[in-house]
Amino acid sequence: MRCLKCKENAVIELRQHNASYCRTHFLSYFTNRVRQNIEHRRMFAPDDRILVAVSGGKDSLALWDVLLGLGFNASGLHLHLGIGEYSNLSLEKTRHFASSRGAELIEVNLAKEYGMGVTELSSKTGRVPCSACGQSKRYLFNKVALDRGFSVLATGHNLDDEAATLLGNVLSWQTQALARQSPVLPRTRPTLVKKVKPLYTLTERETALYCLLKRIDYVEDECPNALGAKSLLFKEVLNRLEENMPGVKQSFVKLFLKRIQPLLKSEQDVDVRDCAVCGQPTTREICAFCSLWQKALSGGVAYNASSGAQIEDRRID
Amino acid sequence: MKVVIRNPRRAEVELKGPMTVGEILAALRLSPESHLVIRNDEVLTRDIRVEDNEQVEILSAISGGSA
Repeated sequence: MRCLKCKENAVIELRQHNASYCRTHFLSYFTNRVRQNIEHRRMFAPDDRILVAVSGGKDSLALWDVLLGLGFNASGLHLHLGIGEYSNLSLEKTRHFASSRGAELIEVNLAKEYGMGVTELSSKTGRVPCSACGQSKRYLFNKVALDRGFSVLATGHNLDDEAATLLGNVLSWQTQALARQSPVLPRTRPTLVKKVKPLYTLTERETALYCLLKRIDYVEDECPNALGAKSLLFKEVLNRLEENMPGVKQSFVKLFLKRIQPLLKSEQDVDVRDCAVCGQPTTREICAFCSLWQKALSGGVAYNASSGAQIEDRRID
Repeated sequence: MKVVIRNPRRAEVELKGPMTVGEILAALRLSPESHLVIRNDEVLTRDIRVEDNEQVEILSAISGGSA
């Protein structure tokens, strides 16, 4: 198979675009797609300070690499979530990348700063690990971005992530979640940082290839907690469809954003207020993160988010 | 040919060559939409023929969680 641009040997065939590319032209195509997404969706401008949520996986490292290559002021944020060796390896890969690029990396260790990692948090609260993990990540991404004065938070969500989430939300008609599913979530309140997904049109296979070609060393294994996750099943189903209907994942997400999501906007008009404990935005009196940690720590220590992330040695009740 | 599957669990499989990359993935029931096939540091498209005495690696691009 030959490159569409130069007729050299291709390294990838993109049936959804009826194209194949060599190494050089694939990297150029990938970077241009990210740039187009940023510009088209007005994600951020050259003078913005961008915080990239970096897990050590292929997507977030590819995103960080592209943003740095495009000259954006992009720092990394890595959360050590306390998921055994998987988290240690993830931190190691993230540090190695940051050091090789001379980029600023902010680290937050859940166990050190809050008293326990995701595994223990999950067992103490009875929440499934992915739920406790996702809750903690969403909260801490926003908090760190706010505390450190970043204007935008960028995550490495790719087309497969977006299509799988969309399928899951459609299957159970989660209209509020559907209304919020977007490559750009604007800053609607002073305490809510703008969130963007510059890779939302690129597949996982493309981000993996980008990392291989750029020799970016990333964590290849899945999170051990994700084994059996519904999102993996949805991705598998969508890829089966894609094999027979090239471009279906892209049209599924793009047409949703164009035709359906605008109709759901009114669903977003919910009563948002500041959390009584930490001050971050919530629809309840106490936000889900503070509730989760209060429950986890109610066995002997209290959670005090108002002074940052401190654990006091006293009972809540 | 020797096929090394890198992730999510490392495994080695012997297949009778020659086969194209597309045929290798089909024989192993792996989706071409979520896997990359590598030979000697070179990423191969599905039409490339792999000889019986050669070795390839298969990398799954699927991830379901984050660290």
